[in-house]
Parts: sequence; C-alpha cells; structure tokens
Amino acid sequence: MTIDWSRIITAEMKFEQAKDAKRTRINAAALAAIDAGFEHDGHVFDSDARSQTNIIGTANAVGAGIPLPEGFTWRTKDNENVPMDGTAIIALGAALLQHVNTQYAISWQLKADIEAAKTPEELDAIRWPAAEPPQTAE
Amino acid sequence: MHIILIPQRRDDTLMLSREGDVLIINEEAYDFSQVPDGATLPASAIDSEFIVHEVQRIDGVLYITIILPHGADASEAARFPAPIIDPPNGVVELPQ
Repeated sequence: MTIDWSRIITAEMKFEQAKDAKRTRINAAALAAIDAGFEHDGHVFDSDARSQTNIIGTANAVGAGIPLPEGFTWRTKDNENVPMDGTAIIALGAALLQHVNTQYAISWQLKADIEAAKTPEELDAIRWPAAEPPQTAE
Repeated sequence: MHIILIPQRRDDTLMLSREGDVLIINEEAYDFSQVPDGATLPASAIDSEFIVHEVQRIDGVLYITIILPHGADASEAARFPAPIIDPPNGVVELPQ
C-alpha cells in the first residue's frame, strides 16, 4: 500500500483533539484555583486538600457538638492566627465550600463553551479567568 | 502544491513529476487528492523513503516535504534548496 489512508488526521479530528486538550487544561486550572486559597472575613485561608480536610473536619466536629479548646485560632495563608469560635469555624467551612463550588461552576461553564465552540478561534478564546489577587483587610 | 526539499548526501537519485495532486516519485505515484483541507497525513502512513515529513493541506494548498539526494559535488542550490512553489504539471525541475 502506497498510502495508508486510515492514518489521516482530518481538521475535524484535530479540532476534537484540541477540545480534549482544552478540557484537560480547564480541569487543571480548576484544581489549581481550588487549591490556591480563598478569602473569608477579610483574610485569605489555605484551601489545599489538607486544609480542606482540616476545615471541614473541624466544622463537622463543631456541628456534632464537640467544643473547641480555649483560645482556638485558625491560621491564615500569611500565617496570622485568627481567633475563632464554633460559629466562626462553621462559617469558614461554608466559605470554603462556596469557594470550591465557584471554581467547579466556572469549569463547567467553560467546558460547556468548549463543547459549543465551532471554530479554532472560538476554542482559543476560552480561557480560565485571570486570577485576581485576594483582597485582605488592611 | 508546495514541495519542501531536504537535501541529503546520498548516491541514489530523485525524479519528480506532478499531475495535479498526484506526485510521482521515481515512477511511483502518490495521489494526495484525498487529503482534505486542514488534514494531515503522517509521513509514516506513506510508503516512501523520500517523504520524511507529514503531508498537509492548508487553505487548499498541499505541503509535501521530500528528501533531495545530492552528490558530493552538488551545487549550492542543491545543498540549500529553495521550496518549489506550485510547480506546473509535468517533470518538476530539481536543483542539481
């Protein structure tokens, strides 16, 4: 056989490959954004996997009636110890869940945009929103 | 059709001719008319020792990269060949 036509890569196939690659980048961007920290009550808190476990675990413990120790604090991303009672910890957990859900919602919208893209130009225009620096209290 | 030549010191020869989207390399015909616009045909899908890069059609133009064998005393034009842009049907003139 002079030419194996089964190996041809059409423009449509390249476009689908580009869509797959863009989906992979959006997934990675969403996970990075989730892990990048979140703002709550004038502070920025860590939100990597370990921090998520610690925050949600502590909020759940409070919700189950386990008292926090005297003088309990939660350390911010820039290493400031913020005093917290049970109500504040539950609010911190809620803010974390909101942060995570927001990143997933952005990724779902962008992946819907990828699915709907009809041209390479439309696909190229789909980007994760530029990260804005977290606002912290002065 | 754009033919990009890659010079290589070798003792064999290359005879090239074109008939539309068909390129005839040393009397072996390669019909690229089935390459649609925007498509790529990997070099490994083409049974030719002279075609060493993917064949593509971009904006209707076929791009084909071919080894240009040349002797030890080849001219500068053969050692540093310019691309052949849209050669007419028939024998394709190659730098010697």
